[in-house]
Amino acid sequence: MKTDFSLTGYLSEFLKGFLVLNIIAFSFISLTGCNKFVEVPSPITQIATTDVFNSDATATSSVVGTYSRMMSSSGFASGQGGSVTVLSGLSSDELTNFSTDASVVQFYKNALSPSNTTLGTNQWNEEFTYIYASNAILEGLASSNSVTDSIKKELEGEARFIRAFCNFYLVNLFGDIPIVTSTDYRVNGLLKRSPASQVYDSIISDLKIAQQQLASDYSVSGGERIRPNKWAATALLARIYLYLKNWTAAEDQATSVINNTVLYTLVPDLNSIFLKNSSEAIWQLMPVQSGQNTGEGYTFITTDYPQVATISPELFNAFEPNDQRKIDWIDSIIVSNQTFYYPFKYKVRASEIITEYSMVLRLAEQYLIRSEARAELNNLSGAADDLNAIRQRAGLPVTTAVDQPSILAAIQHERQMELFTEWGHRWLDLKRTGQATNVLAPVKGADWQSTDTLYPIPQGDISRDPNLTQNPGY
Amino acid sequence: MKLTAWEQFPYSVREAWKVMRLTTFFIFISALQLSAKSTAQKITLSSDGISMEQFFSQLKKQTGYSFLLEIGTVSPQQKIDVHVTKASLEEVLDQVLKPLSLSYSIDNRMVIIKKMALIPSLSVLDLPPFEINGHVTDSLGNPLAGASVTLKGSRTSVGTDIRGNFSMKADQDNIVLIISYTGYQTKTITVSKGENIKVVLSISNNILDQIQVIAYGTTSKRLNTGDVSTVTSQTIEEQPVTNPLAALEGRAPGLIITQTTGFSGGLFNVQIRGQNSIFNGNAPLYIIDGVPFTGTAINSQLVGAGINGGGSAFSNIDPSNIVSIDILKDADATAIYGTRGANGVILITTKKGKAGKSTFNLNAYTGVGEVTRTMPLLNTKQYLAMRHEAFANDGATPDPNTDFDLTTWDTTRNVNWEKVMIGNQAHFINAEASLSGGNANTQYMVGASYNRSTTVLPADFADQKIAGSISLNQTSSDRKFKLSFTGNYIIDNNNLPTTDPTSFANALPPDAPEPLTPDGKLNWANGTYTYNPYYFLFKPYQSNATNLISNLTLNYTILDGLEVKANMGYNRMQIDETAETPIASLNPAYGQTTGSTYFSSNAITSWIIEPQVEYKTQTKAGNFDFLAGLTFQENFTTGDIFSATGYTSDALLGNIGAAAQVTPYAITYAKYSYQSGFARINYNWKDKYIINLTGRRDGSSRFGPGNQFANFGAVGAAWLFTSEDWWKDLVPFISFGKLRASYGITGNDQIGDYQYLASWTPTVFPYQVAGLQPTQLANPDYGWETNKKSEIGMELGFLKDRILLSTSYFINRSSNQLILYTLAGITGFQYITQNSPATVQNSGVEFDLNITNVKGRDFSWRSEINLSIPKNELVSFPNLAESPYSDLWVIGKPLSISNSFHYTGVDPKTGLYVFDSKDPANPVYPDDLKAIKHTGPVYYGGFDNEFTYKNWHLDIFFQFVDQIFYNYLYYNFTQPGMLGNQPTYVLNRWQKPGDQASVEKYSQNYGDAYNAYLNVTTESDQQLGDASFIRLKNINFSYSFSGSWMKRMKMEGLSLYVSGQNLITITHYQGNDPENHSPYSLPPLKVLTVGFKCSF
Repeated sequence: MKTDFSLTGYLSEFLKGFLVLNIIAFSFISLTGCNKFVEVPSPITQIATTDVFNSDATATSSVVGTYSRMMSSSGFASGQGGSVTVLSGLSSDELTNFSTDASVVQFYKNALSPSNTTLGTNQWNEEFTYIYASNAILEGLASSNSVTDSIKKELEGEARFIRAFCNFYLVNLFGDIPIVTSTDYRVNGLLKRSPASQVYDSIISDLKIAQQQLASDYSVSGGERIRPNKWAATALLARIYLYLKNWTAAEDQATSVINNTVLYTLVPDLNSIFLKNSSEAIWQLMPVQSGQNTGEGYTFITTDYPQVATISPELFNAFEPNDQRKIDWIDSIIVSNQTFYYPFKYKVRASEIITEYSMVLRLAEQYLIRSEARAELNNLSGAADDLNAIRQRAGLPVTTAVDQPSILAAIQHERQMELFTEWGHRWLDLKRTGQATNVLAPVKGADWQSTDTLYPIPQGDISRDPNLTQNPGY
Repeated sequence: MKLTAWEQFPYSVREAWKVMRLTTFFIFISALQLSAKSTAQKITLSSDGISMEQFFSQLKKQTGYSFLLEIGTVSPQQKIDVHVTKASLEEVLDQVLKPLSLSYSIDNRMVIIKKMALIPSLSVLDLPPFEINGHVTDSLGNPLAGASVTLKGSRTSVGTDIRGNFSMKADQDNIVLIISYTGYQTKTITVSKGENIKVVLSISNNILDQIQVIAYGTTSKRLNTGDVSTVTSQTIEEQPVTNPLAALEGRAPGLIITQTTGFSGGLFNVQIRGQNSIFNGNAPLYIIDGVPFTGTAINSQLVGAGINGGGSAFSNIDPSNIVSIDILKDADATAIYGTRGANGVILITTKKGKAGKSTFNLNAYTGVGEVTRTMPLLNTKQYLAMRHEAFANDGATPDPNTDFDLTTWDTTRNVNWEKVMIGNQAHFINAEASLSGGNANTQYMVGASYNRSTTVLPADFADQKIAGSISLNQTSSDRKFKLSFTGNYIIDNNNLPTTDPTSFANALPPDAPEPLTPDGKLNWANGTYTYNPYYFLFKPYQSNATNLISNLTLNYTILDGLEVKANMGYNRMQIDETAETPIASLNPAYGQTTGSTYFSSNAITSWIIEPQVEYKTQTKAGNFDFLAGLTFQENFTTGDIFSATGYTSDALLGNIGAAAQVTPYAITYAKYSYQSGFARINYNWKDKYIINLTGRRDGSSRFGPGNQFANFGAVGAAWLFTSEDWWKDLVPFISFGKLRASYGITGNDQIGDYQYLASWTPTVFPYQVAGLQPTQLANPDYGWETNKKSEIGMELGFLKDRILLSTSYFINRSSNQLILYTLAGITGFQYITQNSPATVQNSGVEFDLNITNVKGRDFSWRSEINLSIPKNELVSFPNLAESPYSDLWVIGKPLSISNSFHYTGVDPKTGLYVFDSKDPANPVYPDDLKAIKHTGPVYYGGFDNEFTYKNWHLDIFFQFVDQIFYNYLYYNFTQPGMLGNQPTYVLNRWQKPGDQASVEKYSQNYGDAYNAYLNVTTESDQQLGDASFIRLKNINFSYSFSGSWMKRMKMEGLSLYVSGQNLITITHYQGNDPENHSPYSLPPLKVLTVGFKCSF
């Protein structure tokens, strides 16, 4: 009798099956070698970064997207309650707070908590979002072969300008900050703070390149002054040099803007300065939401009991007699027998017809920059000329200051009166001139600490990035 | 560092696999050598008078085998005659040794020769082996290919070929053959030499032997190594439901289905064995006739979600056309689906034609439905008393400008708005017809059905469905080529209001005015009737859906047992929706005078191609089944929503062209490509030991380049211990016993498309030109969530399988969870989705008991009970405390916990709600979150009894769930005392100091009482309550006619039936219905229908 179990038979059966599987395994290998099938094109509802920089149009969209967001958010650049304009105004002596939002009250009381959400969202995250976009644009343009060279140059200039602009506010509000230059979150999420001097170096470097790359007119935006050009970069550079006390450079940059009288002249009528594309405007942001003009107009113009902020008594009382600005740029409302004064540089609260754009950089500041630079360089008459240009427009007599200290003091006073509730100028000026404690301690009383000049680094980032340190006093 | 799926295998498994691979390699090599040898082994020898010594040395030379001769068997000098040409070793040995009464055995290339044991009937030995030929068919004469034919008392077993033929060698007369085939009764026959055997197998009645659909094939419950539950067409047909998911509630262990609304077309939540993924999809993979089907409705979430909860894709599947639904649960059953198998798989098979004469089937029913359950509400007397008490408590008086219920309206009116709004009868009509038939080579079926369901609302809304189906099977006459085609198409027009009025029906004061003016317009009662409940009925929502699912399968048998196959499927589902706000619905107080409409259109198109090779072989060493295949699949989703405003006439609301302004609202677009290869090896040794290995390599476009592929696999094994010879004597009353175990890895890719892509999307507003903003960080290295499933199960049959008990215990661990990580703001983004080692464990025990209590000639009674006890646990979550989810979850607790204030009652002094907190009246979030309560089922199951007496048939099915869920307080912002009705639960309120009450004092303003009330309804454990229930889910009572008159009418069958759904609900739930446990959605309906079935 033969055996029941035939190894040969079993193996040959197994072999057949095994060979079949091997054929399949080969298909597998060829399959894994060819991944094309599982690579899908990007969806029409979003665009992959690489595709954004495949055409002039989409690349341009990536840049203007930042301006659109600046105006549609209610934060940093919006002129609304979360903007630098309002929050720094509250931190300084410009505005009296009427907001009941605890996170806004903290700005007014100079008692910011590192976990303050308004601070984190509107004064930190938002700027870094724009910096990320700029970095992505710079990376995208660098690796793109499809964008026309002239457009590429312009867009790179704008991206650098935005990055420098955001870094300027970050370094002034927070002191040392991380310098973010790439899009890799794994690298960026672990950055440490760089000294302010290095941040300024990178700002200057960006702006100098931007000066070279940007157009010297407003042709890219069809004549509207709503995208930064070469002169915007120059004007910001003048401000940077002023802050860095590089008086000669500050004078030079401001001069080159002031001398461009074809594009820029001081508007004689105080009520016309903030109109769209006014000849004083170096860079304005265009309102984007329908039915809205500027965020500043919407926020400051008060129609009932104030909800956000009003002009502080310190600012109101600082005007010299006959200062036309006190009449044209401040309005009031009486509610329950109480008079509230509010900023009225922008005249339109909300309207379908857009007449005003939000002013970011304007010529008057350049006069004041040059005036201060000249005063510091002991060119007192030159300084007085620039100062008087501003004073005369406000209906005031020429300055009576004659020596350097009094001219410098007059310039600081003039800056307060001319640039109030614009982009936190007062807050930054008090800090850079070392006057913050002198001026604010009497106003704010026990709330004021000398360490309040720097806002705290938001707690969320401190806990997520182990390399970030907190500012003193927090 | 992220591990690949392979690296996540335990070390030991990886090592074992390496060894296995090596071993396989060696077997492969030696098999090659052996097969080479076996050709060389053909022996040619021709010699008269050769000596035994010479003979064996020749053999050794030619074969390489050694020969051992037992002492005394042969003398070396013995002379023999040998004449063989190219014979096998066995043939030569047989020829030479048999006449010498010698036997031999071959062991490891060694031939041992010994004396043959004395066998009584020596004559048998003298018979030369003869061939037995036979033919196996089913009762309709269709050949059964692959049936197993075993010679009793031996290990000889052969399979039938594709024509159903077999042949085997036997060496004695009157042998006994055992013929078995999956799904058919095993037959034992005695055959004698020369007989032409025809075997007809009939379909098995034993549940264990019925065909069990599994991934890419079938097996039987008896031989299945995995865990699969099946719901058959009989169960589905007995239930008057329009969504097949509704028919599955309580029917399968491990499967939870919850109906979220009583409106037709509404959402059903489906979960197999708990929540695996913390943030991503937990829906099972659905496959209909081999075509993957999106389980998620493609309805626009904006347009219709207020009424249908988002909709159900399955309302576009005709339940009457389903033959079986199989729920695949463990790793063994699901791992072959790779990245898609983590949440279980539901396989739906539609009806196919059967060979035989053409049969026409007709089934029609009509019926009525009402909501299962509502809360008892205050009547006007109680309501007004509550309001006045609230004003008294607050020291206030009603304000004629706001408190219309007390000052303006007719306080003698007493309306039960629940009854008016959702207390009406819905009507159902359903009819389906099919024609099927065919012969052995061709079978066909065509079917059509119509269903109309109205609502319980006091207006004319209805859901109408028309479905058609075609099925065709063709087999070539040599039976080598098979073609199978199915096509299912449905048109569903659903007309509903845009908003579910349930919560308004609960909250409307009982003295509210008539909703309509005498001329049929909305009555705004001079601006006092803001929440006119008929307002919603004036705003219609319309959805028009079509769904085509078709499948073509081609099979070709190359050799016996070797089959190539291609499964090709196509699915397109499209839903167009409109939600209208007619001018007639506008409250004049708001000054709006034009109508508006949302238009939405969504579609998903998918195709799949799956070439496969299957090789089945029955050997002496057991049966092997090899399967390998490839999958190519693509899904394409598109959608858009437009808001059209400024209509000046209600008649034009459906016409987007007539709008004054059209604004694009949302555009969706996604493409998903998927390719993979899979393989399975099934080894079955004598139906005793079964091992099943599955593997899949998956690639998906949902992951970034370079990270698209991953490997998955499982091993399953079963031991049918009752097949052991010794068992039957040992424990005779256990007729079937199987121990099975499985372990494997599956994945979850329900994470949305394009998540890896650094992308930009349009800004909301242009800035001269369109703007773009970065919306997603480049994130190429995120991968699938992996789910490691392990399970052991025991299946027992007692008393000749009259009692079948199946128990299983499983542990599923889901890790590599995709979680939103918070990023430092300096990165430019707040979050990124990344894989995390966070782990969720689902474990549980499941029982399924099936008893044939009585089986007589006239009367039979069968019972089935299933029970599932699930446990969900968040095992780990790195940095949970620092994450945004720190208040949501607790390590070691289920994901479905509610972390809330602990409610301690009403303070007898103040009459206000108090809590277990530092300041009992004012708990602080999140410090006072102390009550961790588990929502969701503790256990659940179903209990079915089926009685048959002569022509009468009765089936009663109960569903039961033990659970805690949100009650009527959940996010209810109207506190007792305010304008708005309340359930009668609030009558037990605090009135004066010292009262022990369950409800705080009535109040009508936003004071302390309201704060306490908000703490209760938004943050406390008081908004959770017992939502356990036992429900008479289905009852079906039918009578089948018989008699000669039917023959005369040429009728094959006729039956009348009464069927009911959700008829009785036993619960303590405080709220409307414990199943959907929502104060905002319509409770499911109880339905009673009568109908008839006939066939010609």
